[in-house]
Amino acid sequence: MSEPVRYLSPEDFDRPHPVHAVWELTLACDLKCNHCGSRAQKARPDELGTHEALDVVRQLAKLGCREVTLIGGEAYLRKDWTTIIAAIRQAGMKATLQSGARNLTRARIDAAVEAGLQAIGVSIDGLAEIHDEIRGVEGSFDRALEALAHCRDRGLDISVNTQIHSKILGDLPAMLDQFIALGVKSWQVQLTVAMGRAADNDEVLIQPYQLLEIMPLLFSLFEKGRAHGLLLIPGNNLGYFGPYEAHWRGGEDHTHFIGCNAGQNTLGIEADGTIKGCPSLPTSVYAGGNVRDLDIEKIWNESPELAFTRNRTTADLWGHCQTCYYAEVCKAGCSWTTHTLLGRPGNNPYCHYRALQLDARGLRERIVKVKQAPGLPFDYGGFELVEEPKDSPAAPVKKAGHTRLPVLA
Amino acid sequence: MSALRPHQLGLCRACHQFIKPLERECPHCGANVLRAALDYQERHDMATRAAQDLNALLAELGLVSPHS
Repeated sequence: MSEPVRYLSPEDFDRPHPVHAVWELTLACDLKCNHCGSRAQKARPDELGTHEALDVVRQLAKLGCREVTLIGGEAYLRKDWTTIIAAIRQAGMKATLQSGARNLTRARIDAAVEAGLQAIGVSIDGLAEIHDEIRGVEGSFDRALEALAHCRDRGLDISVNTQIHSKILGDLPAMLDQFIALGVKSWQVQLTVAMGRAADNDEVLIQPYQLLEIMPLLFSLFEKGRAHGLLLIPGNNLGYFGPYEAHWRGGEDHTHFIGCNAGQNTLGIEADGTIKGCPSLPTSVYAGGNVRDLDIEKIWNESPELAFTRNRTTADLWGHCQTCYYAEVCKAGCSWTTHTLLGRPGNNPYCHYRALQLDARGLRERIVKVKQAPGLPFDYGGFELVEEPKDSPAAPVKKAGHTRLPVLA
Repeated sequence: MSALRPHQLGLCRACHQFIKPLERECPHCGANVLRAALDYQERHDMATRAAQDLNALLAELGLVSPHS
């Protein structure tokens, strides 16, 4: 079997270029998720037109991009989405889709497959009750599973992406059983990040010390999944090191987490043409330019907002990450997670190794929201990090109402 | 090697946690790294031989292909 095109060769490291581009085709969305980092709902007022989008495809191919993942909002809400998929394939790149799949109908799937779509990841954040609550639309869980089944029947590689939020832990074992029965081959899990509506509804965020409970649970699911042909993949913000790293991120060749890849081999594109080093990064800080003003190549090569991880050293780290045994390799992990939480990268409390080290000293870390997010796509508020005895009383669970939004038809 | 290529860590074969390449004593479990690696290799070789023997026996019994 050939290696996934996203796998990085030594030459990819020598010459940073966007091996994988993640492209928000539109911010229009038919779900109303209360953890959505981009606050997707209506299309941006100035999204790229078809001609501009096809030029983006051309530029990505020229830069050596090997895979383009279309996201949203919901990519399928753009009328020209299959035209863009076809163009990606014609340019020699892999075309994949990430979707909540509420209205990813058979007809839409068939059209995407005909255009050349090769793989799909569907976001599922709990069993039906929890998923529908988080996604804000009753029935969205069933629709997601229906879409996955039809994609499987049409020969697409199917995967599931799941956010680890505060309400999901009890659902995870049964979710695994459902995914195995459905024929899902890979299941990527990542922590919900304090961005956008998740910063508003911060009761969905897990506390850093909960990793002591969550990581063993996820690893037990990894082992069960492996025995049934399903690969559970820890996402880039689920780490780092600790007792499971060599097993679930390493494989036979003992690879391990190597730090944030934003702007090294990953590129994010917002629907209005804004370019970032990773699709999830806050726009206000990490927008490197816009395709309407500059070529992607120029933005990639010259923008400091995209180059920030290429030059990162341990001198850029702070807090516990600065003195960590793995500092030189990990460099505080996911920049998106840390910047949105603490206002700058370089110190990441969402770390299993760190939680274990603190636990051994009778301590734990807890986050407390101190600042509201302004309410823009890809924005963030502010949190403080509290270090306290590990037997401290549990933080009170906030019962604040979720942001309620109308749903696009 | 390019400065952009990531550091590659080693693995302590006693606790299976990642360690820096030149460690002699595992900072996580305290094991002698070289001794643990030799023990691991010995166990690995034994397991490999046992698997080969089992496969040969199953092949003799006609239960698997000799080349499986």
